[in-house]
Amino acid sequence: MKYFRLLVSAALLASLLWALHQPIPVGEKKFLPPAGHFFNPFSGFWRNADPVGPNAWSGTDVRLPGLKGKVEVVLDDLMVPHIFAQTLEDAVMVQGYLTAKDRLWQMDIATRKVSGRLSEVLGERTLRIDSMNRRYGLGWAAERDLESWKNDPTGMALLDAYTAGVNAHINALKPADYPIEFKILNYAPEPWSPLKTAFMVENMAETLCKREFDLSATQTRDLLGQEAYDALFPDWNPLQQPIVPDFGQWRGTPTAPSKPIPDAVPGAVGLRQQPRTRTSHDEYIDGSNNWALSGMRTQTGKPMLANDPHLNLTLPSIWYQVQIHTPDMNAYGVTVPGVPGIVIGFNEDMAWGVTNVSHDVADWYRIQWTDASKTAYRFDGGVKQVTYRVETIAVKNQLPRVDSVRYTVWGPVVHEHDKGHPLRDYAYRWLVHDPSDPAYIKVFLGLCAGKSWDDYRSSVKAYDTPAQNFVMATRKGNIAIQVQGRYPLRARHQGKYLQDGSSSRQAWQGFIPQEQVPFLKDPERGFVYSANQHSTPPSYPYYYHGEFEDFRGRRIFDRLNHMQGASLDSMAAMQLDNFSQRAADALPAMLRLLNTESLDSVGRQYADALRAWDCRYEASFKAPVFFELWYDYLYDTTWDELETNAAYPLQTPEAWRFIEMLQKDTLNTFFDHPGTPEKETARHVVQESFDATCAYMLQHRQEALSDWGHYRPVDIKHVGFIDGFGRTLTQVGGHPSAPNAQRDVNGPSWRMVVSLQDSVFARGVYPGGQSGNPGSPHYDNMVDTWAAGKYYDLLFLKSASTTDARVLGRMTFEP
Amino acid sequence: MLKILLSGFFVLLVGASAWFGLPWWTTALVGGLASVLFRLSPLAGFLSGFAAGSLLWWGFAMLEHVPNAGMLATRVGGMLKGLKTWHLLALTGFLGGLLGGLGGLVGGHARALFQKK
Repeated sequence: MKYFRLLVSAALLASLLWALHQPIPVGEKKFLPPAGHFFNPFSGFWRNADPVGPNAWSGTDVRLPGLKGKVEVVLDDLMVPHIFAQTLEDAVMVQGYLTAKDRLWQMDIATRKVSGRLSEVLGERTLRIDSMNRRYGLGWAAERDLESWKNDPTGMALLDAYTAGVNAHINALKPADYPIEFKILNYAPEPWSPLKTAFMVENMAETLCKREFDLSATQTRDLLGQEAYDALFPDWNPLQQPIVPDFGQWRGTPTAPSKPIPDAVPGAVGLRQQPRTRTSHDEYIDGSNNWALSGMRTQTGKPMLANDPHLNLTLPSIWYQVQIHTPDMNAYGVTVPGVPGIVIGFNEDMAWGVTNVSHDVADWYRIQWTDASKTAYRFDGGVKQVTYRVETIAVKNQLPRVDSVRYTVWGPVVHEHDKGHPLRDYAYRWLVHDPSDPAYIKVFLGLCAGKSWDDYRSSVKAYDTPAQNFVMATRKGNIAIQVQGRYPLRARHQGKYLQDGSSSRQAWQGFIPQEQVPFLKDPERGFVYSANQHSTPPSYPYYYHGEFEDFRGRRIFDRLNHMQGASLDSMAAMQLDNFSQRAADALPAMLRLLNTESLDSVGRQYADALRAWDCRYEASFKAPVFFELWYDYLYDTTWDELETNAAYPLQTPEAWRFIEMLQKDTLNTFFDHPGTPEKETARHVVQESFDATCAYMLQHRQEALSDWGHYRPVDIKHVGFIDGFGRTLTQVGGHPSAPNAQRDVNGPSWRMVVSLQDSVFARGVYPGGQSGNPGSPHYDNMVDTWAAGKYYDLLFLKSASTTDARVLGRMTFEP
Repeated sequence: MLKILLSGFFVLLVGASAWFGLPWWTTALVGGLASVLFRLSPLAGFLSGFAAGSLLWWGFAMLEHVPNAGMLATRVGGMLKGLKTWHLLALTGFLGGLLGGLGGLVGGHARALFQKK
């Protein structure tokens, strides 16, 4: 009996231990961590609770083997590390260490995403993402970049130092110290490597330059015919101000490709499963603003610079602030965790910032297989063999999946889905696959140390992908912007549509030479700016196409053009400007076409409210809610032919072109509903959509329609989409077509304004916090400041021995 | 009664060693050991182990929770479909209690094997 009791109780205990050791299934393919691991207060999630108040790291001494000398770090009240080192290698090693301390899981998951290794820790549910990222060749691109970087020993030494810093932090971690996401997902951190930094670069490239609509353009052109297509989708918006105007600098430049342009591939594409490809209606793309004012337009008589990159807003944020001080440089700014240096920032003599260049640098080529084995394809009258890149995707709790991706001369065959054409597939020619410049990794470190226009020019020239508009301003008084990147040399309209992959004549004809990359320095007008608009006017001798912003840039140009005696406040006010040029263009035309006589009293009230609206998307305004619904309804009913007729996605025109039709071309046949006997015009659809919007507003009198901020809440999600770790804000104004380009999950991810006065002064804010730990008071401490449109004075230190009141902690690193 | 109290203190003190990197199930081990050392009956072993185990887990959780002003527990509660912070603290204490208690129970039964009639 005694044995029996012992046995029973022991069995009970064993079951408990077993149960506490098992992941808890919640929902489909999702698990909570084992309760024993997660809840125990010794190594579970409780250990991730950082004390509120002065941070626990102050006064910490760290031994960091590989350092050449002592490195001192000052932590300010925002937990921004200010690194004081004797050499650049030492500085980036400590930067690696500190970034890992604050953002390790973010770094881990981002590199897993790009390299197609999410399923290894998340299981089957991320298999599709992993598979697609591998098929798009992101890992291949990263490997090729790293091979190229190895040709630059000083750059590699910096990357190795950064890697050593990250790994020193990882190696010192006990399971109790792992970031909470590792505990939730029940896996352990693995070492960093230079390849992972390359993955971070591909991650940005994936976000910023995987933009083309070759396939939907091909399908739309085939449906409409070339002439009608060209009328709806012109290359150039005459209202746009390009980043670099024509001041005669291109006169005499030999125009690039002389080879005849081969015909684009005719015939419908008919893909069963569409590759990710954008249509123009999806205009709310990631974008950014930057500008610089010369001293003639500022209060101080010295240049000022502003930059606000619009990216996905996440917790932790995509950005991490840091100051790096060595005997040769002293720079402050933000970087992407995993990338050494400072991407957007300033030093005592110079400030710089970036916005995305929206050129299309990705093309689809149709591959004609010789037979169903798909081992060879037709090329230049002969036959070429594919090569294979074997992708092995580890899947948690399952056998790994193996995918042999076919590579052609163009690049990987991403999709194998052509309906009715078993011997056709599509290969992806993407600039990101080309090895980057060997000195790429030193571009931003070069800017950190730059003092002059010459320093800037020589630093950015090694920067190729994803192309960026690098704005700069110096204390000496120069301002400039350069549309820096590597761009395919194309014949006119080449790569706008699907191309024939069986002929080398369809290939890019080289690259635009670096000296022909557009730039603008010290223009008479006293400012340079960019907002993802066209790089140049049509007179630029090289052809390119892309997806260019049409409204923000015009507003920014207007304001800068009138700006006198500018201060940092006026720069901030511009970044926070919620005025939409799109609404300002569209609304008068829409109201003009609206017959208010036929409206009921409710309708008249809405029309009056719109007439009184100043086109600002303020969070507390109701008019933008109505306008947005009305505009979308109007747009969708106009382009119903293109949205419903086809079995595959078609392009719909850009907003500016649509608005132009509302202004000048109200009898255009696209306003007609194909199914009705009457011939509808713009007037009809404007009225119809207005009535429908009124009806919608009456039916939905809930809080969500009460004002713009509630209608379009800003959802700052956790990077891993963990419920409870994100923030939702209902008091944030802005619109993608306004300088404050805020949409639901995407917006100004870092706002920086810099005054290059004698002692450089800057303000900045991002919607997050320096720490990636949800248990830290520095996890989301800047979110409310950001949401309120406020900034922090950025603490720019001259020496580690500062006694500034904002200094909260110190760390010392020794070899 | 004194034995039960002493045993409980033992579980608290020795169980706290898990802080220094011993695995979480140390609590069960210590609960069992305490029952044997302090010659507790299975029931007494369970009760003492449960009380001490839950105090141990809850207490250490509180040591993290309070200086953190409940920030992390609020977020973790959000992840767990809206659990309140006190739910998490209670659950943590309960799990520690179960481990200590069942450990104590097994210990009590094991000791009974060698008990002289």
